[in-house]
Amino acid sequence: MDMGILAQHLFNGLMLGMVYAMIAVGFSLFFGVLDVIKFSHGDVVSVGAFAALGGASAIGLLVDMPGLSLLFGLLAAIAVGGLAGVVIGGTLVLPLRNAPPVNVLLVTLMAGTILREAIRLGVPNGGNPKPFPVLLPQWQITAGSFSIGFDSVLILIAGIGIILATHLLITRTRIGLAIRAVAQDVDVARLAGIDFRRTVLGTFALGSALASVAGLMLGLYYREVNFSMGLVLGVIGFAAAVVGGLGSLLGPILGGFLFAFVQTLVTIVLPTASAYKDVVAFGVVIALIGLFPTGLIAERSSERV
Amino acid sequence: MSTGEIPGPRQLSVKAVSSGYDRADVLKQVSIEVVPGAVTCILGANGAGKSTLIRTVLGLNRVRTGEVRFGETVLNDMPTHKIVALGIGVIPEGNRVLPRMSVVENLQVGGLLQSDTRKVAARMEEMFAIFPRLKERRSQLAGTLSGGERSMLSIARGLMTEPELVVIDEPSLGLSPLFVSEVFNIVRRLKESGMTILLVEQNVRQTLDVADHGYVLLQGRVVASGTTAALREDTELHRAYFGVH
Repeated sequence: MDMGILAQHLFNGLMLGMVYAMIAVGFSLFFGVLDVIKFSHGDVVSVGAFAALGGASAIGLLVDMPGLSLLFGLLAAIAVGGLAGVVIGGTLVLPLRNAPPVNVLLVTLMAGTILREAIRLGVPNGGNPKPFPVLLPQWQITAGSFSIGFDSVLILIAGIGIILATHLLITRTRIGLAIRAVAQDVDVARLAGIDFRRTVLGTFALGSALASVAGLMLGLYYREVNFSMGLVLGVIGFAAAVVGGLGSLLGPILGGFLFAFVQTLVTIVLPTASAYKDVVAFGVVIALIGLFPTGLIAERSSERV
Repeated sequence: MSTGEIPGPRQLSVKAVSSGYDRADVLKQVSIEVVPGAVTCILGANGAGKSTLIRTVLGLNRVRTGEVRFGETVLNDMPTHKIVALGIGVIPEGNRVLPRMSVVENLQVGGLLQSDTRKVAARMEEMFAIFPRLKERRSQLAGTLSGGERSMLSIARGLMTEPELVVIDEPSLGLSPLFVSEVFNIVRRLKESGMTILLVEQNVRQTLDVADHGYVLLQGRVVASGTTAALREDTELHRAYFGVH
């Protein structure tokens, strides 16, 4: 295979891995503090993408400054996505804390459907894919037959920066200390003066904002968003979190990149069968779960969030 | 017993409190007072309601009827994190530590109410002076500590905020006899430093040795109370433990 195309595939794989990791971290954070799986998480990716589209387009109508549009798109994604997380966490998940976990699964699955349908029906012509505005400089970096957009490199660097920042927030700050304390022993955390409700809602805001920004990044990278884009991403993020080790921070990041790596490998090795890349990747997930039932990074040995 | 005249300290009082789980009351009309500057103990066999009493005082269980006060503040319906922020340190039952955090991080969690990180660091050094073993293991994950070390860590974490009142819930639970004596020595030292202590225990003899006042719980009711000297002679205490079979 041509080296340029190979490099292109690998770059694309890294980008996808980063997006998966950003979504998977949320699943792991929520599971950490409340022992729940929030199935509306994937649809928060779409919410973030459309919030960013709305914010950026609104500014675009006023002034022709892509940088400003991007900033507003980012702020809109963080604010709307974070708010969606807090509202779902505060009104649907926390009140069901003592109910069977299946109830939380059902309720958040329904909440995800509501988010998805709200976009489809609430956005003009929301049922069709929407073009995402070009907000980053369109320079090309060329090396032999390999050519890559400068914007894609920026997105990748930003994503890695965000994941590192999240890691530092969880491991090095007072907020992170409180989140980890709640994850490990709720009663001990409360008796140490930690506000349980605020910590849980803060965790939901953080995880949802991450997924939301992932939606913005996908919009920037593919220049297109659609109302159901979060559906498969949610399943992939969940799979990545479980394979990596639900409850840990490093595990879901590892799981996200692993999933993207398998997809990319299929595309490179079997170009004719690249349509089956998701099938193969999910097959690998099933095999890994069989081999490592508690995830690649087992909760016991690693630092649970 | 004559330390009531220390200026300013707040008294924890529980007045005719009932509480429990689901619909059943575990505590029935319980009243206790924790005298400032002294050690007050709650004795009782397994299932007598000791833990429910502590959970109710700390807001982990709801007060159904009656009133819990700390000084002038009514604690009924106050969330746990606000109750402890009043100056109450808690050493929970069973030497509970945060297993996947280091010793230092456990102590930092104990100091989260203190926003000045230099004060937290200084207080941590004081704790390391009292518990040199913890200093040796400072970067070790708490889940890998021995039972005795965990108990020390749990105590040190509860003292991080320099609380006015310390609630110690069954510190000897699950410890070897050697460590039980060690724990009671620590309680004695805290008492000598003038701290107000509410000690909940099953271990009657050593608890009565260190406490000034006590209450005996039986099936959710206070069946005996008074100075520890008086309690030693009380037949209710023996009945509460050995029952009438």
